[in-house]
Amino acid sequence: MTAVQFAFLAGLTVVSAAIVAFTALVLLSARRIDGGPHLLAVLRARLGRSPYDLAEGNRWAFYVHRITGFAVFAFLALHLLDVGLYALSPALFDEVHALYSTPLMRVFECGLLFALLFHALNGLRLLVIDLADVGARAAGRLLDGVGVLTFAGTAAGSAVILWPVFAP
Amino acid sequence: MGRLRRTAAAGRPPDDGLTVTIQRGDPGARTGFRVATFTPMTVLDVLLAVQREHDPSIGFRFSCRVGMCGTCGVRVNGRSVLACQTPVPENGEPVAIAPMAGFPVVRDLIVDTTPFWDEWRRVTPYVVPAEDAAEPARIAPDSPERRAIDPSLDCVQCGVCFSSCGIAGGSRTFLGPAALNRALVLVNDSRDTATQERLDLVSGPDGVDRCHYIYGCSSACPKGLDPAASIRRLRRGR
Amino acid sequence: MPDQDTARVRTARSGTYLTIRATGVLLAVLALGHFGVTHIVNDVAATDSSFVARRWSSALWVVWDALLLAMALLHVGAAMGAVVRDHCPGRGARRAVLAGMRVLIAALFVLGALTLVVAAG
Repeated sequence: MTAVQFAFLAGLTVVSAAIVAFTALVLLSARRIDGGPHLLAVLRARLGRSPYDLAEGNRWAFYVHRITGFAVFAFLALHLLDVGLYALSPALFDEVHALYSTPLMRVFECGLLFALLFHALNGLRLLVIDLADVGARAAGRLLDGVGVLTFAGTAAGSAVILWPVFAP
Repeated sequence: MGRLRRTAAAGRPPDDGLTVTIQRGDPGARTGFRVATFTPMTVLDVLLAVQREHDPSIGFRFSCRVGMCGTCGVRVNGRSVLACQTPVPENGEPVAIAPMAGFPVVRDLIVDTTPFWDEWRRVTPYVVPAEDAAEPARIAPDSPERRAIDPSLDCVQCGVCFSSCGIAGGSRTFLGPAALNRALVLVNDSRDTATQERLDLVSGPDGVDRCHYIYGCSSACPKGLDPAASIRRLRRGR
Repeated sequence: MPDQDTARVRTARSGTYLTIRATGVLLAVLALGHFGVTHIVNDVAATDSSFVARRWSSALWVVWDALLLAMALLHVGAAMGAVVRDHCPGRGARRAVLAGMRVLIAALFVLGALTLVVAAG
């Protein structure tokens, strides 16, 4: 392993640690501020129609939106650094880039895809809520749509990304 | 005095009473109780029964008992509610009562609602009339103004929305759903002259931009108000 | 909704709100497209320095990536204000963290812009 590859992996570790720390920060402050997210309520909520359960779904969407936003930004910082290597020397860039096709990195990329998809789709949902003056019930249904699309997109994308690991 | 239900039918509270857990401030204080139930019974009735028959030291607030004063806000099974308006679950499942989230706890179920009132005060929550206003003000009951205001008018400032928000309770700067709802009501009031100050406040860094679309406020309001809709209407102006 | 109150509320404006939404909509296309081309359409193993050279010989991709950089950092800058305000109640701490964020974002922008200028010309 070359020095710059090691540096990249160190950077990746830092980014991952930052994402985990931020997630912990968000969820711990949630527990303090409003008793925390109620997991069972969300699981029931898709079948339940009580307004409180709809709010729980929206509450989770908010936390995941914030965490995925931070995750993409943390990754972006690292990505700008490693693409910046190309301007320094294409050979250095290739060294780091060799790491990208390892199975571990591919798994990270699937996580990135999930974060990007959810954040983008949920963000568009929030825009629709404002433009169309949408109430809690409709917002919950939109969230269902976002969830389905995110899951489908992540599954399809992950299949493509992880394919070379299983069928080289 | 209520009658104890002597039925062994499935889904009723057990004959030896409803299981109630109350979050206490003092680590040595008793938290588990079995309360004899009657029908209909509210969470406030449960608290009064605990105080009367089990532990007189339990601390909680109430006043009117009919959902008008906004004093008895507590968390029941994780949800912020008014104790006097919340019936005991029909199926006999245990009830966990805790103080409202997002406020400093004074003792047991009593919280310090100062954060709520600080934000409430910031929107100038009363009509500021013009010096030379014609008396009396004539506003038709079916005017567009009344139609815009009436759905948002019954706020009793109980703090349940603030507690369910998820943002307001943690930040000491977000105005919160109740204050924003009141701001919308007054912005629409034609007698009021402080409109621009309120609009500047709600479009500033502590106003509608801090709402993250959780809808906790509207789903929890015991008076059926919709602060989330008020916030959307304030945002619509952009 | 009555015209009277919408007319009056119309004076409420916010640059942050507009920035987040406008950049966000653009980013949905730019970022997902970027990811699609580099990870889905082309397997990531094929995106080595020669791929980058080919990509940036086309004006379309240079503009795409430049817009992606600018929009992403604007979006983060605008959104970070809300995140910091929700988590840092102290005014001093808030200003310090926000200032730090602005420095970081500016540095990242300079890095990305320099890369594009040097490599793509």
